[in-house]
Amino acid sequence: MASKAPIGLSNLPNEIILHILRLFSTRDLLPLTLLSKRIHDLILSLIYQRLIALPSLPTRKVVLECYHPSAKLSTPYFFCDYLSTDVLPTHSLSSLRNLYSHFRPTPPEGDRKVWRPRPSGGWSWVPISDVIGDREEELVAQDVYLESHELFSQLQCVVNVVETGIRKDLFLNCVTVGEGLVRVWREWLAERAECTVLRSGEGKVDNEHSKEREKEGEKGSGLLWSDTEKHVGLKLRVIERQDERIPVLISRDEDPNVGYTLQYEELVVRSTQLLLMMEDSLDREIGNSGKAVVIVS
Amino acid sequence: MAASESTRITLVSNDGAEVHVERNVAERSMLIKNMMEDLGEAAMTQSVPIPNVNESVLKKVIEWCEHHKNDPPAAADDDSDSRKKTTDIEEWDQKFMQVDQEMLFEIILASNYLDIKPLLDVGCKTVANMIKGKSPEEIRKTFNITNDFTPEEEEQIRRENEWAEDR
Repeated sequence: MASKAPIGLSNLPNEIILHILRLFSTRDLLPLTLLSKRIHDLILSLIYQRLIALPSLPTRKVVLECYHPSAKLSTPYFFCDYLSTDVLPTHSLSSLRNLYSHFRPTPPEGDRKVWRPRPSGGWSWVPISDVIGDREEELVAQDVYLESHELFSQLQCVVNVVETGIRKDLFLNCVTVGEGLVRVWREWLAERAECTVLRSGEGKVDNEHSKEREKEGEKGSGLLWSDTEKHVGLKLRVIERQDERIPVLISRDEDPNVGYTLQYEELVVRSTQLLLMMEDSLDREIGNSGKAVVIVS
Repeated sequence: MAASESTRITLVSNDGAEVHVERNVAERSMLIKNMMEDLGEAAMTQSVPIPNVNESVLKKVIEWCEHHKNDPPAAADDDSDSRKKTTDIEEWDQKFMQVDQEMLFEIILASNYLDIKPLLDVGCKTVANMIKGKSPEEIRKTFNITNDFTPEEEEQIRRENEWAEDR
């Protein structure tokens, strides 16, 4: 006890080092992982804590917009409920990067209104229940139609995090986490629709089948990435629509017109991306604190 | 109330020095405050040992408490908020923290032990400001941190870090 090594950053207790590290944004913390093994591990657990805490911020909501490019104005946005975040498999930065947070888009509630094109031309402001109908399903859905010459349909997919005020539809702040174009291919739709039929037909679990499906992995789970970085993905359930008119004549090498309902089972967002974008928006908020930008939707 | 303000108590540092201090100044430390409540009247006559802190650090800490004795009690701590105030250190505190590194860390440790949260915050912010804007190599040099990564490990972490750079 008499002769002590001089006190430095390296021999402070973990709790104090964490106290210091907590003052940094995640973006600024990452280069510090190079300092030493101990600091690396502390930073990793700190970021992981932040990832876990993030979706439960009460005033922040993840909002999904997903529309055919031609229906941008008329497709409603959806609030998403937080489901879970992946568990960190190994203590490394790269596995941290591969974590995803899972959300479920929820049907709009209350008396929200949206713009709809009028048959007579122009737009009208109608209650949302007229648009999405009173579906029995809890999942939010979207219909896509492919005409015989079309190989795919496109969905513009935008994920925002908004800060909600007293009114849920009044956004105080909005930050885009990811944006991309999803292509749903004719073949893929058919395949997935078959899967849906199989799944519901099986009733319970047919073991052999489910194992096979697991092996298919991402492709089999109905997950579509909206961007090349795989920041945002949608897990879709595809149901074939029966209301598509069957043309009188089809030549043999012509594909038929098809229609599908896409149910959004899950929205997956790369957790670290969500964290970085949220922090960037917080920083901006501090930058112009006092002046709120109000976007009424 | 008026009486308690003028009451002085005696603290004893780990190197045996007695430090006299007003009770309400010493009670910026939650540790001492709780101790006083437990000891009651006896605390007025007895000296209070502070076994983890030496005289020079104790005096420095008390100097801070003296200056901040009339601060309003801190609002409920809000960890999510603390980040935005990183660089905000009030001028007096900044001057107060212009000490050598060893004293700085001693103050941080003492404020942690004595449970003086605002002082701990100021200390940690001071360290954070010393880290900001420096390269890892410079930080290691400043704080005498040993790099215990092999060059391969370091390269690996550098690669794993790249994602934070693209926006």
